[in-house]
Amino acid sequence: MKKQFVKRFLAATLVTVMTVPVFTACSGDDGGLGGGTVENTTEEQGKEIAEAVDSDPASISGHIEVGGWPSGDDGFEAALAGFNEQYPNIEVELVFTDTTAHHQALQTALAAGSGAPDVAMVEGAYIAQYKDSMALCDLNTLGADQLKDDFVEFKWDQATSSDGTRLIGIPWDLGPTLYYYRTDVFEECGLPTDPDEVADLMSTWDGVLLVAEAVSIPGQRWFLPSAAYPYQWLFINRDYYDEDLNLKLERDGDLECLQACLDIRNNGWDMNVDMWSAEAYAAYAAGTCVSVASGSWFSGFLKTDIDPDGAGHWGATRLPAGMPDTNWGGSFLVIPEQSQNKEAAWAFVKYMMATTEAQNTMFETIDYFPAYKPAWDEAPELYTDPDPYFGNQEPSPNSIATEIAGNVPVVFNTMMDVTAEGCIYSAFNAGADAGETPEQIRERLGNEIETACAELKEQQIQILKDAGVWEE
Amino acid sequence: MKTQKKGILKTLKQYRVAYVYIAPFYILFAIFGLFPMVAGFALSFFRWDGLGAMHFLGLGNYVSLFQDPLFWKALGNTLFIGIIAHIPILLGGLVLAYILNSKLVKGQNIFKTIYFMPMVTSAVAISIIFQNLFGYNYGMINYVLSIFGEDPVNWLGGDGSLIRVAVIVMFAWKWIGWNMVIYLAGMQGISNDIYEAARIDGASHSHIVFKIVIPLLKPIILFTLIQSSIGMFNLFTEPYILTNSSWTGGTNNGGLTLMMYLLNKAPQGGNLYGYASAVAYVITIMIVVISLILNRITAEKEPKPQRKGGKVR
Repeated sequence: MKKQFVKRFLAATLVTVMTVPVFTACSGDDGGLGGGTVENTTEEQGKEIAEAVDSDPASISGHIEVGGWPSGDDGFEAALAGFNEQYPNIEVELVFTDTTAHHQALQTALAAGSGAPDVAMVEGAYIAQYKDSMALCDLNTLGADQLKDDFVEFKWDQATSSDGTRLIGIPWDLGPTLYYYRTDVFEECGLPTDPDEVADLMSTWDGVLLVAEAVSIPGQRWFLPSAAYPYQWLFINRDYYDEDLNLKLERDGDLECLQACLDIRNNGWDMNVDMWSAEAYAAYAAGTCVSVASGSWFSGFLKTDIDPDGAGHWGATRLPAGMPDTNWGGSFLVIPEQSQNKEAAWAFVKYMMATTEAQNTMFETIDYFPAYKPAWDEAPELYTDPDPYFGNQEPSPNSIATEIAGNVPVVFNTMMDVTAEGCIYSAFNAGADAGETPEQIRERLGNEIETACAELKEQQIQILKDAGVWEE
Repeated sequence: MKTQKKGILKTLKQYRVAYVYIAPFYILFAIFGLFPMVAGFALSFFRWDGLGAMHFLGLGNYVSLFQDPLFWKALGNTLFIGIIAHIPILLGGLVLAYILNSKLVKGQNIFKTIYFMPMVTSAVAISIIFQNLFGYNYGMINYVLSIFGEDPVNWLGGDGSLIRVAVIVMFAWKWIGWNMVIYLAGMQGISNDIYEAARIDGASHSHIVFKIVIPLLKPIILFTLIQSSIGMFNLFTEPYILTNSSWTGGTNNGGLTLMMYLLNKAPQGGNLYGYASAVAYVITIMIVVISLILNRITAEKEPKPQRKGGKVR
């Protein structure tokens, strides 16, 4: 009897042991408990590197690995010839995968202390998780502080550590938020199609609802993928928390905005689907979902993926209803401390991010809107020339984006932002379904975010404490 | 106890060559299986973002976990989806296996392939199909409903309660063939003589199923039950796809499962490695408990092992 119990116990343990690796493998913690520690670049080392990069490009040689996600690789490939002209002895290998896998691999490699590429892309939504990490090289020691004024301020700020001393990434691109609309449907409904006129008409919520009613045919054609999005646009800078980590959901005009969102939903003027869903994609191309807002990189999505045959029936303008100018995403380049060839890595980052030549080449190739301001003046035609895809509208989407980019304020980002953003869509849908008022929906959203982010917030506080900038 | 230890040492010595032969597995397992398990367990007592300093929390992660309403929501969803979905998966698998095995239909291999197909189809292809099926405005199911004059149903939105229905359908569709193949293998292991004898005695299909097939398949049914309960806790892809990669499981967290909850903590959504390890261990313990219970239930109903060939067990 006892023996049988032992046997059964052993069998059960074995079953458990076989299933556990599934979880532990998922939690990716095999980096060991020490957490890979690497020595940080000292100021002297940094000076040497900066010196070599600036004064003697040919002396830098070797092989570097650059990691990221498409279509960044297409951009780098296009600009690589120029890079190798200046740094003939550096060999660059591009290691690209999808966004999620890239960040996961980077995170694991940084924790483990080895295996990270020499230069890595980091997406805007993730940068807040990294800005206080000692596993990334402080680019200020390499002389990045001298470049500060050339970059859009809010992006630079996002990559600066909480105590303001370190800089862990150089901003690549921005995503000035644009409102995209189907000009053919607007025309059919007797609405203006010119970007300035559309912006004028939709400058109030009444105007927005007027347009929504005009273009919508319930059950057949809709104004937006989901009525939750106008509310989300208010938060698209991802400034959900203030510096004391208090949620700040109340902002100018938010209740009017929510009321308009509810009107759109209750009249059946939205598709009630996620804007990135297959259904929404099909509807953009078919002209049955008439408008959507996103970062200016969405132009590239439209042209290559969503509606490649749509040239001439899309327009783009500013966000409606007097919403402030905002930024939606955009990536950075970082150099892990574990890199064995920081000279070559810094040469690469500096050339790709902080030369007009490289930034504009990549902008032309993959529509990544440079955060490097000199690029805008160097080749103004790239930004102002009419874009045939957008029916040669005047002003062009890129010139509107340039104007918006200059107005985006510096915001405070945290590691809770991504999760908080996800709550907006579900909280609005749940609230609208339950017939709640705007105030109730805002309250519901607050509760959902607090619940979903509770643990992340603790972690964020810990990081701020470790950085010495948190007072109880 | 002492004698047992001596016995182990003696066996080790006696079969040392054999132990060397099987050593590679155990060494690899120790590195890639055992070490992460132990490290993960230790990690579950810390707060660590994978980049900065680690801070010891004691049982803090477990306490916050049990206080998190989302955890309970995820557990509830997982159990609901898992239990409801496994009724068609296990019963359907059994029925299909019986039909194929008793040659009621022709083209056994074709059906076997068809039912097994979902297991080997790419998740991306499946996601496109199911999003099309359950779509709100263009969905095929809603189209069929509209033919009968019904209003479209917002399967993946609404108040979030119907996401579970969609997940159950997708989950059952995927796993029914897998269980069918296992049952079929089990049925083919039952000697044909028994079936024939029963048929000659005039047994109907239901007699055969309840008096012969199910009793003889018991060990296999137990195996699929344990597999299914593990599969239930691992449920991730289906709700994740159907809620459009929403880590919180869509409206009102309707599609949030435990595995989604875990992966949302680290490494895919956030970077709370310690917390995620705690979640992983809680899930593991639940799986162990369920496996033990299942083992016990079936062991008690099985006839006690009898003396065989004079050897007392």
